[in-house]
Order: sequence, then structure tokens, then C-alpha cells
Amino acid sequence: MTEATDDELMVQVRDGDVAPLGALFERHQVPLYNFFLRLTGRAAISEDLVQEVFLRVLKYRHTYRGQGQFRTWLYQIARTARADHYRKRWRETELADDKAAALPSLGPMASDLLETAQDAALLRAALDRLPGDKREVLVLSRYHEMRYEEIGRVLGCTEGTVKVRVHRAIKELRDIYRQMVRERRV
Amino acid sequence: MNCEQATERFVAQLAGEEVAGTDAALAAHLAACAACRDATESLTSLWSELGALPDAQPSPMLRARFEALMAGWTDAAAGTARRASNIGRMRGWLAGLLATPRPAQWGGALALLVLGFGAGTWVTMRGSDMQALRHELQSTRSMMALSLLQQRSPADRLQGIGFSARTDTPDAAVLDALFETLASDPSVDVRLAAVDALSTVRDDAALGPRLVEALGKQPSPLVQVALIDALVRRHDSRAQPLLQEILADSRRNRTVRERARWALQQLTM
Repeated sequence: MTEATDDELMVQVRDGDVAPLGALFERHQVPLYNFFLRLTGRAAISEDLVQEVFLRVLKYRHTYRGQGQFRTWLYQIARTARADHYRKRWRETELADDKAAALPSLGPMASDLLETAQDAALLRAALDRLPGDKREVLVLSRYHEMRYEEIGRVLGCTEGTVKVRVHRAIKELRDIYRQMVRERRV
Repeated sequence: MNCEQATERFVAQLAGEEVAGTDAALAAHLAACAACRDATESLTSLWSELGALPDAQPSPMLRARFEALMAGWTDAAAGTARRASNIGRMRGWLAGLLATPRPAQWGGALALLVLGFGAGTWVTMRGSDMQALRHELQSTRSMMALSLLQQRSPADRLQGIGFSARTDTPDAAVLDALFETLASDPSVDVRLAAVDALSTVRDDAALGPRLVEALGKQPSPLVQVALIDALVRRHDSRAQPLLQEILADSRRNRTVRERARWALQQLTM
């Protein structure tokens, strides 16, 4: 028996049976969490935002149109939730250790793995330095396996615009990363 | 294929998109154009490195919070169904009433008036389902804050303070826990975070005197300064006697005394 698609589950939720939302949460909580984590750099805020997204999915379930576009709809909600969060909390100060908590553990520090881990940390830091809109388009295209057309639907722009933005973003990231590598060597 | 077309094709390839018949053209262009070749090589390498960055895992609390959300939502939906059922019964009763002779209708109208007033009061008191759900979330956050504040690790306690700061209005138990943390936590960082969290609470008149009391008992100069700042931000003049006492006490830390002097100036402005 084949597993129900996201769209089929969400249609059930929309039609009044909220239980399948549990399966949607299982499928999307980690990608959504990482989407927020890569954009905010903060673990606690990312978890809050995932929770907020699923609350909004419940609240606005009747607006879901189906047509196999659950993920697009979910990430549109995610973007709005994030924007609302920063509008509401822009004055709130974050705990200093939150940033550190955002980074996944590097695991055992064997010497042969250390440099790789440092490179990864440096690349992550370079990604953090990228302007928010560029980081967002890069995260969606690299980590969520979204085609440019789908990213365009999430961001509300054309596929051509997405391509231009991805190209600019990856070039800027390369420049930032190279600069940081040079700084580390000095 | 020119450089612009090659760039567009290359970006499409990054996302795994296939455009028939262009791979050979792109390869030919890259073979002839050193600038494009260097650019695509470096960007492809970076793209691969990006893909190698591992996903982070959310804490188990995320699932607990989602389950609390679902439970709250289900309870709220059950409440709505009960109310819908009551409305259905009321409709039936109303239909029966309208089918009865005129004197009974007058009596019924009076009963409906009383019922309407009662229902209005009841609806106002119950609030909306969404408010109930938000309240449920607030409670979950408060519960997590209280639980984490009891942990042995300072990082966990800091996280607990973070949760308390994310509740719109911390309840009495959370406030008590924050003041307890402020009074007795062995870590200065945790105590400072507790001051920050308490500083964000605005609509609680009882908070001022408790902050003043906490300042009087606080051994750490760093936390004392943070508490003085918090009292100034609240513009709480009840702090003045204690601030004067601090200012006059030559055994106190000099920075704290200077901060007390500054605070007194601010509070008397």
C-alpha cells in the first residue's frame, strides 16, 4: 500500500480530520527547522517558528486549495511567520548562547576531521553573512531540492528572477567564503 | 552560446534542471572561455560544499510542543462541537415554541430575551477557541520554563529563562521561579539573564518592589548593576531609598555606587 501524499493528508486536515497533521509534522519538521535555522541562526527561535507554522496550518487549513502544492503553501506560511516574528520581536534581545546552540555538534574532534569541521563551520558562518534574501533563495534551492519554478511560487516571483538571484547569491557567498578563508590563514 | 547564456544554463544545472541539447553547447563554451570555466568550477565546488553541511536536529521539546498544540486544538474543536449541538437543540426547541398558541409565544419571547442575555455573557466569558489554544501554548512554554529552570546545567537554565521571556505575560509561578533564580542561582550569567527576562515584563505593578528587594539581597556587583538599570527602565521611584543607601555605603563596589548615583539622577528627573 502506498503512503499518502502530503497533498492527500492536507486535504483530510482541511476537510476536518486534523489527525493526519501529525504525519505532515513528521515529514516536514526537520526541513522546516533547518530552513529557519539557516535563516535565523537561532535554535530556539527556529523551534518557535516551526510551532507557529503548524499552528497557522491548522488555523488557515480551509484556505488550502490542494493541487499537489502542499510544500509551496507550507513555505509561504513559513516565510510569513518569520517576517511576522521579526516585526513583533525586533526589540527583543536574544540569549548569547543561543547562537552557539544553533550550530550542530561537531562530534568527536579527531584531528583528521578537525579541518573539515572548521571548513564547514566557516562556510556556515559565510552563509550567515549573506544578506537575508540571498540566503533564503540559496537555502531553498540547495537544501530543499526545490525547482526554480517552485521557489518562484514560494517567493512570489518569476522563475527567471529566481535564477538570477541564485546566481548572485552563490557568487556573493563564494566571495565572502574566500575572504573568510584568507582571514583565517592570516 | 555566449557567456550570459552559459551562466543561465549553469545556474539551471545547479538545481538539476535539464534543458535538452544545451549541455554540449555549455561544454563547448567552457572549453573556449577561461573566465566562465574558472567561475563555474569554483561555484560548483562551493555548491557541493554547501550540500555537505549536515542538517541539525530540533530538540525533543519541539515534538512535545506540537503534541500539546494538537491536544489543545482537539479539545477546542470538541468544545465547538458541543456548542453546535446545543445550538441545534435550541433550534428544535424554538421551532416547537413558534408552533404553540400566542400567549405561549409571549412567554417564549421573554424566555429567549433572558436566554440571549445569558448566552452573551457566557460567550464573552468563554472567549474564542483560538484564545484557548494560545493560552494552551503559553502554558506549555511556562511549564517548560519552570522545568528547565530546575536543571543542573546553566545552559538549560538559560534556555528556561529564554522560554519564560517568550511567554507574552509570564504567570505567577514563572515570575516566582525567575526571582528564585535571581536570588540563589550559582551562575552570574543565569542571574543576569533572569534580570533581562524580568525587565521585559511590563504590566505588573508588584514587580517593582520585588526587584528592589532582589537588589538589596544580590551579592554580585554585575547583577546589582543590571538590576539598577532595570529599575531605571521601569522608572520605579520606590528604589530611591535603597539606591541612596548603596551610594552611602563605602564598602560597596565603586561601579555599583556610581551606577546608583546615575540611577538616582534618572529617577528624580
